[in-house]
Amino acid sequence: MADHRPSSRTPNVASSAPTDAGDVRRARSEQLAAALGALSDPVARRDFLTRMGAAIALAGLGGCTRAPREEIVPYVHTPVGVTPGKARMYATASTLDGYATGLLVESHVGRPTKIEGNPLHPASLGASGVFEQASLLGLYEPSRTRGIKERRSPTSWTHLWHVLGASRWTKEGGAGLWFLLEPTSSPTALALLDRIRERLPRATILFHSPTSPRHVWEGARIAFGRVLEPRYSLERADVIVSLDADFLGSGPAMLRLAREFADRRDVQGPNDTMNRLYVVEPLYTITGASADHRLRVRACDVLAVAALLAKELGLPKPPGAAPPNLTEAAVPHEKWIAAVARDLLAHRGRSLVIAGDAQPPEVHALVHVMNAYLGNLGVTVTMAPSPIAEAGEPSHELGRLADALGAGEVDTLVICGTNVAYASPTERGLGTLLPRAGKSVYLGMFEDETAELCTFTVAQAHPLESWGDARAFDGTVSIIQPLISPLFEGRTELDLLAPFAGRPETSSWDLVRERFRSDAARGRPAPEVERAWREALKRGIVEDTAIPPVTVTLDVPAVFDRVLGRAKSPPPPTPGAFELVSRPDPRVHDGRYANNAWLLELPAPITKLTWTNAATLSPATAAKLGVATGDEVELRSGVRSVRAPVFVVRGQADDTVGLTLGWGRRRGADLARGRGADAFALLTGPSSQSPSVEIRKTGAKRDLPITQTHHELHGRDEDILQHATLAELRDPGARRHHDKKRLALYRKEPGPSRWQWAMAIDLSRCTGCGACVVACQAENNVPTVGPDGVYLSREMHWLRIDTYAVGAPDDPQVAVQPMLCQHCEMAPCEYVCPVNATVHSHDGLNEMVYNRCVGTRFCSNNCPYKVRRFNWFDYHEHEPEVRSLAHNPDVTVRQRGVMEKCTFCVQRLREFEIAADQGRAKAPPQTACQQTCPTRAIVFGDIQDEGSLVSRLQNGDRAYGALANLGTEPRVRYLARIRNPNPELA
Amino acid sequence: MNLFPSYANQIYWVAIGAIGLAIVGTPTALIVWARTPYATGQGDPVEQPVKFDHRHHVRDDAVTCEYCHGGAMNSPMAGIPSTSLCMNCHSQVWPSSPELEPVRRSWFEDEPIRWTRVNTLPDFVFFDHSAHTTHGVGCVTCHGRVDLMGQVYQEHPLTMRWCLDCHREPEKYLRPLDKVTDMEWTPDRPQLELGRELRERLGVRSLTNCTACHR
Repeated sequence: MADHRPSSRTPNVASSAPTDAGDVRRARSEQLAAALGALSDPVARRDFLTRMGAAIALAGLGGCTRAPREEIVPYVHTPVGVTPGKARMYATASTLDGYATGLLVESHVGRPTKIEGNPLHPASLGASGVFEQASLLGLYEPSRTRGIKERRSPTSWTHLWHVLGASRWTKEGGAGLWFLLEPTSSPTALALLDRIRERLPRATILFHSPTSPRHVWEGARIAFGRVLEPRYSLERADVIVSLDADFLGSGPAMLRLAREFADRRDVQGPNDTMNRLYVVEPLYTITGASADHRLRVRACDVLAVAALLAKELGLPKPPGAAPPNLTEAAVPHEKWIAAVARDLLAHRGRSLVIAGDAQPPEVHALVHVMNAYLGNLGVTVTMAPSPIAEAGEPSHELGRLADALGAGEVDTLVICGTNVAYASPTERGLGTLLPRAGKSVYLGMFEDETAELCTFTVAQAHPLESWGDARAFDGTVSIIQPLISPLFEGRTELDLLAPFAGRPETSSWDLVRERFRSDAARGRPAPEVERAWREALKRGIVEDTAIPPVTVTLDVPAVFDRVLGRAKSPPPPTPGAFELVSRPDPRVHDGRYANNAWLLELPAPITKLTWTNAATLSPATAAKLGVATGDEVELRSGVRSVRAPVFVVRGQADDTVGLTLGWGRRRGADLARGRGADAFALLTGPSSQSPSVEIRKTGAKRDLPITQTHHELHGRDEDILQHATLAELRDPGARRHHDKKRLALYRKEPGPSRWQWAMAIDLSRCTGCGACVVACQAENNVPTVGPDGVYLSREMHWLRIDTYAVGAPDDPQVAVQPMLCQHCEMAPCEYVCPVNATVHSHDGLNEMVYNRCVGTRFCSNNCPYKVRRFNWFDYHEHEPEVRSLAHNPDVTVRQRGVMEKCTFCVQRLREFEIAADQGRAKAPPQTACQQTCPTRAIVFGDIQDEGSLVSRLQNGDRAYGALANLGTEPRVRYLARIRNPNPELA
Repeated sequence: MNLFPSYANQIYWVAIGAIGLAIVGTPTALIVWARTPYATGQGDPVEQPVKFDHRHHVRDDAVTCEYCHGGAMNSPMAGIPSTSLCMNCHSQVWPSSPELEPVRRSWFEDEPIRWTRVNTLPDFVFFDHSAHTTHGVGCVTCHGRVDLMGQVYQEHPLTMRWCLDCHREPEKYLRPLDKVTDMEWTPDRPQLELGRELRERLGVRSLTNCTACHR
């Protein structure tokens, strides 16, 4: 591996330029003499040894100082309800593309330290995803912009409004005033926008996010004549067909859908049933990894697959002859599609077809027709108005702004939160057009690409610093309440909009309360409204605010017209071109999280790539191009091109190249700047057609920071990752024998305790989303090591997700396995530690004692699971002070030279035990990974209690211990992965 | 000719011995040193920004421990009183005393008083006050006779060995729950007998797992 790296020992001799060979020799020998002088002179050598000896002695004496006195700084007035030393939880919400996810945030004396999901919130159900978990670190990011700046020099809020002159606009009715906001569902923001429209009728308000579900809205408009969003009930679906929909890994209802999906994958006994998932997709997603059958096709061929599926389902024929090329691309997969169709028909009213956000509106419309035909509409899928303001209306199209900027019609442009200069197709040209606005104000967290082009930059408050409100995917309103006052003098979108709405002196807190009161009043007396407000803050949701589904009438001919119309005008094929599939990145989304080290170092779900994106290619396509993983290629679309490293992904569709959005940042993302390639540069406008790119090998090589390079099980499935089909599980003859007892080399030694902690991880439920990895990092002060560290395999994650390829070598299924310290009852690590720094506790934990560890790393060498991590450096020592505020005060911050690993969140266990001893324990303890898991794949508890879920799972049919044949007796047991393939396709 | 004089051998052996002694002696000395009262700070009165006298408050005024250190009963941290708590009394009592100037300044300028910590544990030790006070460990057991201290000092070494002495045999130190804050309580029967009974009754566990304190 180290071959590609430049040697750090490359001598750096040439300081002056000698003129001839003699000079060169003389210069060299002088340098050499100077270098050796110190050692060849005997006195100097002795001096050196003396000094070294003294240094060593003094280093030893360094321990002989007294610890410095620490300060205790109490409050002047202790806030009501705060007890120093005890954490409090507050309910709030975060938004992505306007949709809210409910959160509970832990606060230690006014400092938010951990984010959890809100169990009462419909989009969370108590879980949270990687973005929510990592947003904590985003709060403490030192590179956030501060205060208000005019062309990068600090200025004041008063000066800003003096220049903007909010009052002047009323006279002119707002002509030349443009607003560009993130899509929003906030009732308060909507009220302000209405007020602005009233006062300034000629102002233009636009919304932009590169990842908002425009095609979903448009598809509904074709099928139902109005903009609606589908809401799925996966718990009712026996058969699910995903047409390029990554519903487990993205989207506003992702956490809820993952839970519903997993609840139908949970087979404990032979009589349980489970759902069946078919996935048609170009790139490998975690939804594809959860599929029972997966078909890899190009993104542009999904329409053909949908059309053929519709035909196989026996949908009434559209009038007129279908063009021959409509289903042409799907014909090679006819047998597969026919089997899926038969399965769907056998499950009428209990099945579901889902179209992906990136698929063209026609696919969405056709899917609505199929679901209606199968009797699923109203059962497994309902249609409801979008919570997003003006969804599907022209105000969500960026084109108008580009045209107006080009024509010089924009006098003042107010941009709130959306980094439009980066996160929009480069062809739109906003990166060059923005300076043509007379004045522009950008409310943003970072001095990014957009900030560079705007006159004013106003620091945006983090959601944990803001008052606001937002709706979930189903319309439920949550109040966003701050946990801390703005660290960087940030302001909210409401603060910036209020003066335009004629409310310059009103705080966002007042605005949100005002809006809540007017909505909640409904003739109720004020004290009752106040009670409702407190209740809403406490619970994190406002009751009865969900938007009910509507009854719809399907316009089948219109759908067929559009589908046929699209098929009749296929894009001209470009020889030698490949389809570019760019989707939001699972770590940085559209680039907005590119400054978050936890997300940057989170391995991408399938590739395990960190700190960069890559051009993913199928093995056949890579072979055709003569490239392999690590080769650099140039992707060219018209005149624009980007360079990216190749990553070969088995199971990707041939002739496509995948490049996730959000990388290749140019400004404002200190951590990610220059890493990866910018896919926006290759995108062409809002067209629903995937652009085609040419690929050229540049000959350069790139080192890729990957956390797992080998994905084969080599027939050791039974020891490592057990998997079976539902039929095998039901057939007692075929059932595998788990946990062959072997002679154990080690003593068994857990002692008596009131609790015996253990964990069960259900591989049928786990989707490999990675939320647990970030949750663990946040809870346990786990540092990030940077791309170079990952490249040297020095990543510090206590919990990782291993992925294995199962089945056909060129198109494998991906099986995932969360891997953490197994807390072996007979732990190999404990027997080799020379200083007893890792020992066993009476309640079954494999303890790691940092203050005893001397860093021999013997334990890591002897660990068969490779879950122990070594601190090669003081990763926390030089971090900016503000970032250290993110630390969990209940967990030691480890220093250089010690091992660390999963502790089963022992700080939470001990807190629970102390509470239980005092008779005030409410709920059993949860580990951080368990708490955040969207699918509840991780179950933790006391195995001494036979009634506990973890006991029942550990004693169930599917339980096995990873590498249990080594006699380690792990306390973590896995539940074999069960799949439910269609016998017809097996 | 001999290169070395005959006594070179002695020097050699002495040197070997000295090096050996240093190898054994240096760590031993360091280990011993770390346990000296100088290194642990034991018995060393600590300067504070306010000349607060526990003798006066506890003995003369009979203020209980929890009035100021309320967290001791229900939180990991005993807590230092906020300025507002001081002012509860001192807005009326000694309102113009020069000794209380820092407290008034804190109150009027809304700037906290910066006290100096007396009983310090390393950052890798997680001590929970409430776990001890609700299980019959008295304030005086660890903090000493604070009611007799003019300037507070650390009574005990606070080394791990000292902690383990009680963690191994809690019965040596337990007292009835209503005597936890009592500075002058003495057992009315043999401590071990009482301790065993209290240990049974209060469900006191002898926790010697590393992660009981190191997390």
